[in-house]
Amino acid sequence: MTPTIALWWYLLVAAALFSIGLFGALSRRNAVGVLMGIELMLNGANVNAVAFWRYTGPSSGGGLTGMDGQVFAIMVIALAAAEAAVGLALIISIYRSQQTVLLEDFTSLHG
Amino acid sequence: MIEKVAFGLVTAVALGGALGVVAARNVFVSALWLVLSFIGVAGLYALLGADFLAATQVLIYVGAISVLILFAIMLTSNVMSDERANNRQAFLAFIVASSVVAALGVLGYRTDWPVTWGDGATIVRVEAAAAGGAVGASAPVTATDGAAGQPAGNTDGVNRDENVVQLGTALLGEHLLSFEVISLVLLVALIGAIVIARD
Repeated sequence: MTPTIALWWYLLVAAALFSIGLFGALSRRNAVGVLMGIELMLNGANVNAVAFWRYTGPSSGGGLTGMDGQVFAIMVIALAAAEAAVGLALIISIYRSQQTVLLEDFTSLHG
Repeated sequence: MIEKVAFGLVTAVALGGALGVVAARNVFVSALWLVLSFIGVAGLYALLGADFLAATQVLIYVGAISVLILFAIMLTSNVMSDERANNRQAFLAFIVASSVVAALGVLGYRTDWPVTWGDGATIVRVEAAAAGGAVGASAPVTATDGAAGQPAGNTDGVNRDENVVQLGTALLGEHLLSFEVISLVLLVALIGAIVIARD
């Protein structure tokens, strides 16, 4: 029995999520907007991990219990939470000293 | 058929929300679109059979990270500002992002993935756990749990809770080291965030 939805559909959705996040991270002027783009990219990668877990994981002998894909996704979620907390704290701290959140104004390390 | 409709709906929510994030001028509106996109991704997880991850996605992303982002926006920028949202490299970024999605899409479509898909994924996974029990160290726990945890009325050999049980066994067995390291990373990051944001 073949799956109703082919694996490459999920891969395409994940790639689209990743690329939209990449565009946001590269093009936003607001530092918070860049962080949101990075969150979208992490979500795209997570969808990929879970899709591969579902379609190739359980009986492909990856691990003893075959849950590697979901464990990966949980690690990524935890790292994303840590990254968001530190990133937003940095933005708030910079805003206190510079009164701006626009990335092109962060020039104090500019030679 | 119904699975295809659900996939289309969930995909539309996830990608539409993501497009809203990068298209909105106001960063506050972007954050609200981001919530929609996270909910769509949770739907994708549910469609893929990762029910615990779908719940985690809603709790952590929709519940915690989005609120954190909204707080940061309200603490920093002028929420109603309508200034230019994108920098000068937006066109270049568009070209890069479209080539990335084109390359990944072609690769994903043309590669011959070793798809293993049984009649029902749960049954396949229970069999895999039972087969691993002969050689594995942590698999017997899963197998015993699956047999002993069966409700009386559920005798078809499929443990309905097996997804969460296996995930917990994997996290505290095979992946114990990464589980501990990730909790340490989270603790350090949160303490660091408090220290950075306070002074």
